Amino acid sequence: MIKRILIVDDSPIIHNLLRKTLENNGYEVCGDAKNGREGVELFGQLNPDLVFMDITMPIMDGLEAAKSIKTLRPQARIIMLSAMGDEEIMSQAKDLGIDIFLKKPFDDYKIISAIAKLV
Amino acid sequence: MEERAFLDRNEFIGRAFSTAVYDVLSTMAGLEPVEIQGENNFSDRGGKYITGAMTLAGKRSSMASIRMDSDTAALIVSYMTGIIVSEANEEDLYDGTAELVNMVCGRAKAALADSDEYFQLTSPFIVTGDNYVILYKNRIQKLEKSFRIGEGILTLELACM
Amino acid sequence: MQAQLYDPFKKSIAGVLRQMSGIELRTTEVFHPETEDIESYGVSSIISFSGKIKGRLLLDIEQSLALEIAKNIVGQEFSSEKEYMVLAAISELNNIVAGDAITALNNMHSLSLRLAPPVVFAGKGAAICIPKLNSYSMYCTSEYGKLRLNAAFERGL
Repeated sequence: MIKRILIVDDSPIIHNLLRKTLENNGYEVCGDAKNGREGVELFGQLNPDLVFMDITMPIMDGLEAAKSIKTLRPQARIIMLSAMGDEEIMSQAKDLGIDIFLKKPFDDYKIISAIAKLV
Repeated sequence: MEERAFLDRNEFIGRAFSTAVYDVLSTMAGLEPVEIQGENNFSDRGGKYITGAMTLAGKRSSMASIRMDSDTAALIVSYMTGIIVSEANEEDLYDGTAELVNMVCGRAKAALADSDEYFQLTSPFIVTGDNYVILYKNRIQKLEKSFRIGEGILTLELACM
Repeated sequence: MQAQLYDPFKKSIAGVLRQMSGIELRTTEVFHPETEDIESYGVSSIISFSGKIKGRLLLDIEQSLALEIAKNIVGQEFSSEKEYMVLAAISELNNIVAGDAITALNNMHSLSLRLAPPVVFAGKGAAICIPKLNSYSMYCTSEYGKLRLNAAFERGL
């Protein structure tokens, strides 16, 4: 069961859009982090059911943050959501055990069907 | 602790850029910039502002920019190239400012080469006009240093990500 | 101009803008060399990328179009293009267009390009000059105003 979701992205626009999509579909956004380090800290505090994680972010990027989260909790569910999605990045994400990789831009269907695949 | 390390890192980078501004202006233009303490020293003597900026691609990307009014840019370009101040046209000012950004970032790059803060240079660009605002996405800390050059002020800004 | 470097940007812009804001763009389909300084339409965003080659993408947008894009993305009206969320929306648009095009270039030519964060600025009459770099522009129009996509690479493939 996925209910509480943490968003990790440095763009206020993405937080805004993603929050709207998730809340309209009955999910609760339990935390907003604007870089990877904040994301790891909030993950530890909030223990969310799912994390939406950007890649290019200041201080700590999304791949490094995902690695730390997977170390903290190997069964943590993470969806990468990035403007970049070439084979090299996808392969790095796969090696980290990332569940799903989505490319921006996104619409409600893309987000909700990705979450459905994890259930 | 991490916050402290982050501030130290920015201070380290800031010092490298500050030294680079001083070195480039004194060796290339024979000018003696004097660092001014405190923020908001940007000179506003009317006319156009010129901002020369460059993305620094490294472990953490940053944006370095040099901002001044067109009279200060004309003075620097004149000292760098020998063009008489009154004869420096817009193209001279833009080329000269881009070259200044290139040299300052190049000098700072060399100073940081053996550290974790190593970065690659990208193409400089110039923004000019009377009244524009600039937003650096991801800017988590702004380092700003101002230098007095003649009657004008040059402001170096580092948007560290 | 090496068309294979520029075409991915052309392919990305209309699709990304439609998906993010629902706005349809009409494009010239052809890139023109930019020989003069670029006088900003009102809001401009520059994003640099580097890897095996280096380059940058500039999106230059008329104030009325920028406000409409921000309104559709954020879901509220803005009165000035200098408002933070307008600049943030244009910055994110540039990030996604560049990310999409760079992904295609990396997959086709193994360039290992990575994006730096964009910078965005607003101001009527601001001029942008990128000395010593040949750049090419594609001009687009929409119901709400004009958009110029300008791309440059420091060298070819």
